[in-house]
Amino acid sequence: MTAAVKKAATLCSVVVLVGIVMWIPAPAAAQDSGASLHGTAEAGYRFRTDSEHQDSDFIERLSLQGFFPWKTLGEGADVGFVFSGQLQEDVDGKARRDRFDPFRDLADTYDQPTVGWIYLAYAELTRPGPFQLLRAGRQDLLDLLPIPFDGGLVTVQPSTKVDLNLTAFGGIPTNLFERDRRSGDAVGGAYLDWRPGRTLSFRVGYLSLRDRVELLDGAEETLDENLFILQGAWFPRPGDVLISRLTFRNAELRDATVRASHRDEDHHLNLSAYYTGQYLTREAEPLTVDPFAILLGELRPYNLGGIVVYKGIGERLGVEGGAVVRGLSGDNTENLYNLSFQRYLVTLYLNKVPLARSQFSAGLDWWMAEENHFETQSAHAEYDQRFGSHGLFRAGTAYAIYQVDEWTGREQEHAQTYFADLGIPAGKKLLFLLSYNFEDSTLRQVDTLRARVRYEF
Amino acid sequence: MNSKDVNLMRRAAGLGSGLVLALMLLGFSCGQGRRFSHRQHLEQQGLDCKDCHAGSGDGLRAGAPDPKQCLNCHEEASQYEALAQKLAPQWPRLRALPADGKFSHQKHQDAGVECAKCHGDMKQSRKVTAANLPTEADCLKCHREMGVGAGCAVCHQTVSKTSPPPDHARSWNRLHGAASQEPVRGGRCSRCHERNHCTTCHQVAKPQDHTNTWSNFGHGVAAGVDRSRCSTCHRSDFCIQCHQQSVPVSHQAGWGAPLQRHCQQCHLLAPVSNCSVCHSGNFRHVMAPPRPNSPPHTTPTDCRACHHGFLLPHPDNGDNCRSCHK
Repeated sequence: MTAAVKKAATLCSVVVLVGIVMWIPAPAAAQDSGASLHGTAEAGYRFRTDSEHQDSDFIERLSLQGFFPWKTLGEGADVGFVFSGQLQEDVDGKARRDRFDPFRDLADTYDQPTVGWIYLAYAELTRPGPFQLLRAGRQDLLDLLPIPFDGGLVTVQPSTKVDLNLTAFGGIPTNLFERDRRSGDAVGGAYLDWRPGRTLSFRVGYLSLRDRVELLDGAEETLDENLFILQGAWFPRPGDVLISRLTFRNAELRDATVRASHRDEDHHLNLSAYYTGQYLTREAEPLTVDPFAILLGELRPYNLGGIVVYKGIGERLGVEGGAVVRGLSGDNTENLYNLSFQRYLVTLYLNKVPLARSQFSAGLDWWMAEENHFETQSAHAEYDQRFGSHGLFRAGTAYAIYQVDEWTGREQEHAQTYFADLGIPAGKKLLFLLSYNFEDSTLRQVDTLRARVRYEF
Repeated sequence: MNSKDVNLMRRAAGLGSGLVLALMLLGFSCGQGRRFSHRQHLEQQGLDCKDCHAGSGDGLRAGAPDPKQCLNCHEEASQYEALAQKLAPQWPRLRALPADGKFSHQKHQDAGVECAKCHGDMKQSRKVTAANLPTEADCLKCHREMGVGAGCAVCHQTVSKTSPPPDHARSWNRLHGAASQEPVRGGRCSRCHERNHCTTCHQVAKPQDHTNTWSNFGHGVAAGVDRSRCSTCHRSDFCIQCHQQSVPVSHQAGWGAPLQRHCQQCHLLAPVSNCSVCHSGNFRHVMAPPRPNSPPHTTPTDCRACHHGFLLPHPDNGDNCRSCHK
């Protein structure tokens, strides 16, 4: 216990130190020149308990970004950095590895009481000379596939007459929960963005990914993926968009997506519809692309379509409804992790009732797999009230039923959750957050209490 | 790969390629707008913008000209005045400004901004389209270059960091993901939000439905229904980490030795695939002693007919000996 307290004290000291540093205002000269430094520092305590187990954790988060003009590099040139990370300390350290513990989760499963994650940590130069962007460090690439990686990225504009941008990147994919980075991991690629007009945009890209992974039997294997991606987007007018995307794997079409949405603020209407088809069986792929294949097995071809509509009746009342249908294509038969399903959702919104800056919502969500293998339903209701500059009160409840029909007929879990959050601002930059959550399920009853202090600058 | 798969792929490839092509054609054709030759009026007749767009010099909005303006030059137009008035509301209502936008042509002209800077080379324009109007990105780029400020309040009456844009209301929680991926609009997120804003929500803060029951039971159900949702945040081998290090809820109270209750799940009930999620190539099962290679072991026989003189340490009572003793 003493060791845990010491570690917690050290951790808190670091957070306080960082907070003090962040509290120091940037020099006026720097602000005048266009420099900016923003971020959030948060420290909190979480306590969870049921009748048999309990767990106490300290959780600290830091987000930081700074950008500064660097005119010697050219007109409009900036230098900047972005950081985002989290540190978690298991205070009581009572989790046992040899038996089931309901409070074990991703954050504390690695045989160590203190764990930390760096989500983003990169430096970048904007418009330095002939380049549009130079970036190095831990970053997220979202333009081709969601790829987090440690490495570099460069964007150039080959011609000033044509709106064309070429981006190349390379590095090592980041798998935050992998125990050891295995040698041989690599990611690289390039893509071209072309905007022939103000309403059209096209992207052509290539991505190569290699990931050395540990299989279930402990053996290691290198998984490769080479993808070619085509994407087009059309924006006929503000609020309307049509996007089409094709992904090829080794010259074969792997999947296609079409998404259209229409937004009419004057009529409080929001309409979106989409289709996704997967035409190739996706077997074991690099973790960065599909972290589930090793555990859940292959993902078989399917067709998926959905539509979601929001219609407001004036500003105060609104209804959102939607349906999503997925069907396995060809003669693929269902199994535990390849299912045809239907999903229906409906949510009612009451805005500014009874007070200004409030919203009440209540909804139903129903997933049903064909042949009744799986069924999950949820109902929820929530009231949000904002006050002051960034104060918040929120309370609600949610009911969920998970039903698995495997071999014994039915296996069900019911969970009713009640929650309340209170955010009390102390000045413009400081916020105290208290939250309580009670969960009553057929498995157990769990109380969760959180207390946090957040500093935004 | 059988012929059915090949056909499926061909159809899919055709569909996908067709979609991209259709999108391109649709985009080029639908962006043509209403025919009106600015080129003829500006280049050949030598008119100035202000001659038709009365508000372009000192007004807040330039807008489409009043049809009566045409009478100044087109004498014959008087014959069609009634028709022109009738058609005027059908003129393309192109709007560059958002609903809460504030803008002054006069301020821009006073600052020396040429019409072409925002509207392009109208002397070559033959049709009125949205391409003749500046986008938000154009405005921001120019404002930054001229050092006149690119904050929300410069152009918006209501939008600020504490008062989000109108499209952030109501169902935005469901829609913002797709919007952020849109190539043209995606860049606008960072105007208000910090670069790590996505990470803060998607990797640091869990979704509301990720409750304790979800961790212990529900996530397997959800992964079976739609694993693509999981991959929004989870991009690592954490499944294996958790499933190999922490056992499922059912694996307690006599699941293992000495009661070995788990055997009944496999051997007495219908075959299930759950076990193989974690237990592929289980060591103990592989190492079960083989049956002797001599009669009566080589023929289908009831093992318990002979092996009954001692208590078998198997909860299945020896009903499925051949499952392990190959």
